[in-house]
Amino acid sequence: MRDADADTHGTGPGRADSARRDAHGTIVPVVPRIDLCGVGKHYGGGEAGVTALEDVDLRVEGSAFVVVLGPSGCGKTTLLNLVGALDIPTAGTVRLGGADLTRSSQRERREIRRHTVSFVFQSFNLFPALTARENVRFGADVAGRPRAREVTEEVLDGVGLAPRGDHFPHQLSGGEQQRVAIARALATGNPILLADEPTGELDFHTGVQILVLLEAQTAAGRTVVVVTHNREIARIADRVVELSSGRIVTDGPPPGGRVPVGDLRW
Amino acid sequence: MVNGGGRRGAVLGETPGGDGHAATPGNGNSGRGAAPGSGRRGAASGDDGGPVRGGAGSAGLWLRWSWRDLRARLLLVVALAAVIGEGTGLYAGLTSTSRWRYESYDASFAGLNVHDLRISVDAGATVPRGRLRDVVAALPDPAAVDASAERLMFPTEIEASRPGHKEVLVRGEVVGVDLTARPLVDGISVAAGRALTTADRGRPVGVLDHGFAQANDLPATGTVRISGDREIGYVGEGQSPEYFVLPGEQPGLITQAGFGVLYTSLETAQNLAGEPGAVNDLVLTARPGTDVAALQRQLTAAVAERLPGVSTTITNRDDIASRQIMYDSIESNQALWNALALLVLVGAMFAAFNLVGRVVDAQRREIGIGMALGVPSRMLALRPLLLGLQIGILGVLAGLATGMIITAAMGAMLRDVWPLPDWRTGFQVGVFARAAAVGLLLPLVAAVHPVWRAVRVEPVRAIHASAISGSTRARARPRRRRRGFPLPGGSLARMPARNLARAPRRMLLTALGIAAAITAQVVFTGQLDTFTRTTDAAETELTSTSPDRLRVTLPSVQPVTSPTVTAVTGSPAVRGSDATLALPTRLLGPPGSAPHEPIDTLTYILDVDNRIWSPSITEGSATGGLLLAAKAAHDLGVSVGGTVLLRHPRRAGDGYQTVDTPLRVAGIHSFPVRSVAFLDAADAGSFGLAGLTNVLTVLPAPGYDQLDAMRTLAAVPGVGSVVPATGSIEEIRALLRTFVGILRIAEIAVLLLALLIAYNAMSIAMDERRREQATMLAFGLAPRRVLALAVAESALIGLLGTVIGLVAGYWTLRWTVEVLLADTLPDLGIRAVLSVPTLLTTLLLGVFAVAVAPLLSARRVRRMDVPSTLRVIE
Ligand SMILES: Nc1ncnc2c1ncn2[C@@H]1O[C@H](COP(=O)(O)OP(=O)(O)OP(=O)(O)O)[C@@H](O)[C@H]1O
Ligand SMILES: [Mg+2]
Repeated sequence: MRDADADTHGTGPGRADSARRDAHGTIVPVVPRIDLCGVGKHYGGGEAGVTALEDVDLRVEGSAFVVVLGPSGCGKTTLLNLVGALDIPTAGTVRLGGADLTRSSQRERREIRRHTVSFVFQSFNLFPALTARENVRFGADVAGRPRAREVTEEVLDGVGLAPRGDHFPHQLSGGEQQRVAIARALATGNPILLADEPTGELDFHTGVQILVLLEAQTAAGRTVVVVTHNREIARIADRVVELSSGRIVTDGPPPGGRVPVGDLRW
Repeated sequence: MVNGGGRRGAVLGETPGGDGHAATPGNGNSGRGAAPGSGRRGAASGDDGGPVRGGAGSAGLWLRWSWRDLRARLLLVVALAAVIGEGTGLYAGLTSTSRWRYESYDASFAGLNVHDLRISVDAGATVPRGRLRDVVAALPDPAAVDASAERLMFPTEIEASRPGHKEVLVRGEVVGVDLTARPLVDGISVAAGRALTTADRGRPVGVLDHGFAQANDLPATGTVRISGDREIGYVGEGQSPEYFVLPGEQPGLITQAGFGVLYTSLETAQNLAGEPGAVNDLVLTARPGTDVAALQRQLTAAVAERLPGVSTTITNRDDIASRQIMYDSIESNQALWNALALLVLVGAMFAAFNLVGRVVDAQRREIGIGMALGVPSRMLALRPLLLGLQIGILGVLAGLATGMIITAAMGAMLRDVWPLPDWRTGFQVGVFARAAAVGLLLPLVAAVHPVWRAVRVEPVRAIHASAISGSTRARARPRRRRRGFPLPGGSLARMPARNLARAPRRMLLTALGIAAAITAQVVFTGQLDTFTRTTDAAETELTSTSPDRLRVTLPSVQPVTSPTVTAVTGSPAVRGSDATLALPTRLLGPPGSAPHEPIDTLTYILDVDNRIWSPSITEGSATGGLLLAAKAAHDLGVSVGGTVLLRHPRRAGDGYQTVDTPLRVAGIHSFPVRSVAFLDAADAGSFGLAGLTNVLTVLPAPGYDQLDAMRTLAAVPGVGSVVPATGSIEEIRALLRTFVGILRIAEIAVLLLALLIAYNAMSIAMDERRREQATMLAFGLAPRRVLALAVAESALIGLLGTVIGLVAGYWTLRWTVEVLLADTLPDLGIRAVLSVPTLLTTLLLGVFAVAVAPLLSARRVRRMDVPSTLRVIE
């Protein structure tokens, strides 16, 4: 634990370059620029291989709500993993705040994951041995946030799960688990939030709750990248990137303009 | 069954793409296993293959599936198989020893034509050569005797010191054999150099006893000196049945280095003894099928008739001391080895059982999916059972290899520490087959239990994400548990303890697996500690004062004023002496009590205020009665202040009579040999033995080292033997040497077993944590920290397992020592001890080795394909 705290004060390559304070006085780091250039990802070799991404160019600057849209298997998760420094492309470059991830060491990429991006996984991946509260606390701890306890309570309250904080993941519904996963990602305080199908398994009502939560993060100065195959969700985005068979087919504001979350239905 | 699954399998067999996912490099095992299961979902709604194609596809799929299971867990399967192999191999090795002994003893005695009957002329007398043979010829049915040979045997001191080597001066015997006798009864094996031939008759050459030579590191040929300052060359080393094992000076003990035998031709022995043409011994073998007891009676009658006035003793094969010692100990020794072997086997099996169970447990979710899809239970059971079978088969193979290695090591050790002409230490197929059957069945049985549990739960429960982890009971009361474990620190610090608390049953099983290994380790090493402590205690007691003192044994009881005694005490080599009377006695237990197994003892009647050496007392006082060994008091059921009956000789007129005298137990002495008792001369008044002695304890005079003094005193006429008084230590060591040898081999195997179990337990735990570890890595936690968490978790389990193992091990050790060893080595007072190094080794092994076991998979964590691991939806 001490170790993680100590690292917080370092200036690893993953540290955001500067920071500003939000309305509540919480330090919100300035969002580093996301810059993908000619990115390709190929799994396996030869003809049997699978091309998950091909020639992807993507640039996200400043806080924004970006939705990556596309059918199953088009490479959305792969793209998210690349942005999140979890994986490296087989072609092209991925830059995050100026750092070239394709050239960074394992350690540098790890620091980016600790301090710059945070994940909400398609399949939650909560720690089954930890309670909801402790799962959230993990996010704060691993990023080495000061006042981890307060942050945890704040975020847990924010996703509306304060009363269920002492429950273990298997005692929570799918939607509740999803919210814990989001809370864990938020607790890191990292400027880029990557959410893979955060509403995939949820009913409309709960889905909207989650989207409200995510949208609020952009208001707090973060960049949120949401991956989904649900076109409806794309309507609330600042920007929609549509993938098909590993290529970007459209990129821009949602057709018909951005609508408030309240107007969604699916 | 094949048909039943065939249709199902057809669906699976045609699933496209399922394998692609499954083969993702670095994917968790569960991922590989899950792939066909998830593939099934996609295909179930699609087209159904025809029954013929389906049948083939099905068998292929299940084979491929189980092959992938095996490949994914190859290291684990091999390591588990090694645990089973090591357990069965050690079991086979340890339980083989009694068969080895019976076979080797029978072969060794038979191979040298051991005698059926023996006539020995008493007390230094001889008869002319041929007279004893005449007795045999005079038997009612001389044809009942197959072969006979006359001998001349006499005691001597044997010195085999060489410059630059350990000095060797011991009591011993010259055995002159009739080299013309065909076949030679009680023959002499050749272990080194050459055998004696008829050409050696009368020449000053002999063959040295191989056991003695080996124990003293003597070369295969050389020279020795015997009493009378005569030098004799020896042309080789050999062994003869009566000297396979030699009883020590102290009843119940044996010796190897401390007694030498020189085999010569009869003529040479006669020359050395200065008695040409004399013999004092005859050994014979009876024709097969002869009533040896009847023959012995006839021989007794014939001797009385043919050799009037010659005092002789006639003994049979069962009276041969070495034979008694060897055969008597087999069964009791084997009881110890069986118990220890069983302990190892049970430990290994228990560990294997619960490890296999856990591996199969991890498939419960897949079983649940299968059940939800309506696959018959027996079909679902097939895959885990196949895994169990694979482990079992590999285990038996590993057991065969381990068994052969251990058997070879033990055989080599036995040959080394206990030379016999014909050691037969072959691989015991029967013993091994039994162990192998267990080794094969056990993983199967271990697999059955979790499968049975899995198919009994509702499929929905099995599919539920957390069903694979944690017990239902633990899940039912999370709040209480949380309050019960108020853990300090952040989420990370809590993780290891939480992970364990989440699945207490699994944690306990792992800990018990480790505990089983630790128990075996503690028992084996503890036995060695116990033996070392026993020898050390004896050494401390004997060397507490005057460690260089000598023990001069007189052949007969004589007054302290006899010429021999005065010659010894007055010798310039002697600075001081104490006269002692060593009485062969028998302890009969408290008078009037239920009869106890009597204990043969040597009771030393001495002045407890002796200047040179006197026994130290652990309880009671030195005077006012008998001083017993703790073991003797225990076996007789008496304590200090109690009374025992001592059967002893008492002087009556010119001779002796045997009487039983009740004596108070005054104290307990600290020498760990049961057959040693002491009595203060002042308390032995009624024995009528005042002023008599047969053992003199002497101190070498300044200017004489121990060996000089021994030489000088051995040359004094009338002296029987001169030995260092600390010789009993060698006798205790000789008694323990095979045990120590076997234990040392087993100890290494057990240590290896413990390490294997620890490694297995931890690699399974690591496997179960892969997904969580991937999540942590995704959050940017350093692999180092992820490993640290795993190490912390392991350390906790290791600590728990070690504590359980230490407690169980200590009690098992006490049981083996106090119950089993008490039977196996009745003459030694042995108390169970665990030495500090053993405790530290065990702690190090149990906590440290288990804790660092996850580091063995450090590479896997560092190189983990995080996206792929996280991709798999469980
Ligand atoms: N490790 C791998 N090896 C081979 N192919 C892979 C691997 N990981 C992903 N793929 C392939 O890459 C492609 C893109 O996968 P990805 O997970 O990014 O899709 P997705 O858009 O997230 O789909 P979904 O909406 O179903 O989650 C798929 O065709 C997939 O089969
Ligand atoms: Mg995806």
